[in-house]
Amino acid sequence: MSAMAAGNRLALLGLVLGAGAVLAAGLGSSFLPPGRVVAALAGGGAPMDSVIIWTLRLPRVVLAVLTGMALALAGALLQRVTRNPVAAPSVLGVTDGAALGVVAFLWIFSDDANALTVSIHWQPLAAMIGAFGFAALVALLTLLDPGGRSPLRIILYGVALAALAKAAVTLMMILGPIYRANQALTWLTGSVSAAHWSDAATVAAGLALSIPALVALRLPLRQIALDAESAAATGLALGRTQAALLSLSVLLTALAVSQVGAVGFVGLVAPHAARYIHGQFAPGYLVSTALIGGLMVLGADTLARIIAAPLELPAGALTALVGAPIFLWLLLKGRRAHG
Amino acid sequence: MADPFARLRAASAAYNRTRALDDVTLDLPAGAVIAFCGPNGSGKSTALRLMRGLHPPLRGTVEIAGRALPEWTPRALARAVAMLSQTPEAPPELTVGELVMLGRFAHRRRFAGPSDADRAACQRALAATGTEALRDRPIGQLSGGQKQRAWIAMTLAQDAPRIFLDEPTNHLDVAHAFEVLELIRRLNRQEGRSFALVLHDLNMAMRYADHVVLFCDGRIAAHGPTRQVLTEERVQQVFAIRCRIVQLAGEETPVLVPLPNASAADDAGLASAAE
Repeated sequence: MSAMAAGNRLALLGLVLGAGAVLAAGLGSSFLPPGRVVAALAGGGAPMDSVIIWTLRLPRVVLAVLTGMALALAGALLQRVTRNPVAAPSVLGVTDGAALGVVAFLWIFSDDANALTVSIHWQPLAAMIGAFGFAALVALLTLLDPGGRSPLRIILYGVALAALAKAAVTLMMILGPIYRANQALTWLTGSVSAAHWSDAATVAAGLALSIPALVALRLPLRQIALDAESAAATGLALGRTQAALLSLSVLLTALAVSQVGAVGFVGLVAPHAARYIHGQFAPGYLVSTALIGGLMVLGADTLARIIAAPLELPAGALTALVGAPIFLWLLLKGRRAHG
Repeated sequence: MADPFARLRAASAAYNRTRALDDVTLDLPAGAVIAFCGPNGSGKSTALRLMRGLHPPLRGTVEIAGRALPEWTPRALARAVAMLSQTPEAPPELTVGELVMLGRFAHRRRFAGPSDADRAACQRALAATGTEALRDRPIGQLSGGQKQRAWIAMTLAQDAPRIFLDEPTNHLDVAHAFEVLELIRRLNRQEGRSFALVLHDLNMAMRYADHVVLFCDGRIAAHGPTRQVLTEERVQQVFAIRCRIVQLAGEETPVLVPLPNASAADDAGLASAAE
């Protein structure tokens, strides 16, 4: 019975996301009503509509949805593995670490003519190195601190390291060639504006690869919601599970950030929204989280395109505008709950 | 002969370099209800945690059912021994039914929903602890006693022949404490499950335990059949209190009456005299 209700909620979210995508694809310098968007998507409609939808707008819409999904899933995994509702890739410095990895990659592998000396396809790997490096630093600081297992301490370390990564990104931008400074907003706050089908394909492939891992980790992901002793006493291989979930979370973050930059707070807000409207132990919680994450980045990017048109805001600025107050609210709520 | 329940061999353990267990050798007989008693910080919980593999020994070895602990996989060990720790925690929105199903982790098939056996074990555990009516209630809305019974149900659902419980009567009023200990004795007598419990209430240990292990300062002060271990002299010595053991008319189990020791009583008397 509750499974039916959960299914209905997921279907509804999927419909909202689909409708949002159609609407977003229609919005822009020349507005296309949803009917024409659907016709173009179905392969019919005017040839001009087809070009606008398929080559200009759809890659961006799809990339926004997919990166939102990856970030939201990364946040949900991180919140479970740290048993901390305030944990998220952007809060723990993983997002900015990934951005730093990308910027360092562009810095190191550019020649005098500002052309990359290696293939751009290495960019996700650079993001992964940065993300893992910063995740490892946060973990190390937390483990070395005798009082560091408390939920707030790990957040403090994460926020401090995120600030450090952001500063490093800013410095590289200012010290680097001008063209990189133009891209600064992308890597500092995240933007979907330069989307190509190949970017969307990279994120889609990464998400598709993570699905079998998520299915295999389905039960451990539930079990790890228990305290460490109870989880171990019921048969969970705690260390291995934590390592697997953390790695998956960092990989998903790096994947998203390597394509759209440091879009923050999606991994914090989407799992909470999914908890609220779906329930974190109802079947389909991760699907719900992913759909909400997709909707968030799509909404943020669409708004970023239209509120100040023809100027474009970075989508990450809007997710932070929504996410940061929610982060504060969660911190305050947690303080009350823990007395 | 039944396999030995659990065994410590010259085991020592520490938390942050503070010695908690000091060169302890202990064989727990199978098929019994065994109570671990002793003052706070005497090593009772540490011994349980060591035997369940939740804390590594500094020195010495641990065996469960004749096999050294490192030879067990986590899931196989969980099917062999269940344990409820002192302060278990779960997200408040988890329902009692979902919590109890988490006890089935070591039995569940990885890529499928709960099997009939999983559902049946949860049903039995809910019924045994009287928590059936709470099945759909989030644990954040339960009273302390209800919560404790829900956690005990989760531990029972694990269907292990050996069960460790660290202060299972914590948060329970007297009536519910009796209920839990009656349940433990029933599971022991009817299903042959072995139990090791940390118990603070010596009268509960007197009534329900077959064996008592008395801990003092990280060592074992006494170990054996309950009435041979819980004597006036031993309790006085281990807890540094005075104690009388009296037989009430019509009651089979003797009653242990703890009393403040003479010097503490004198101090209290002096303090009140000075006021």
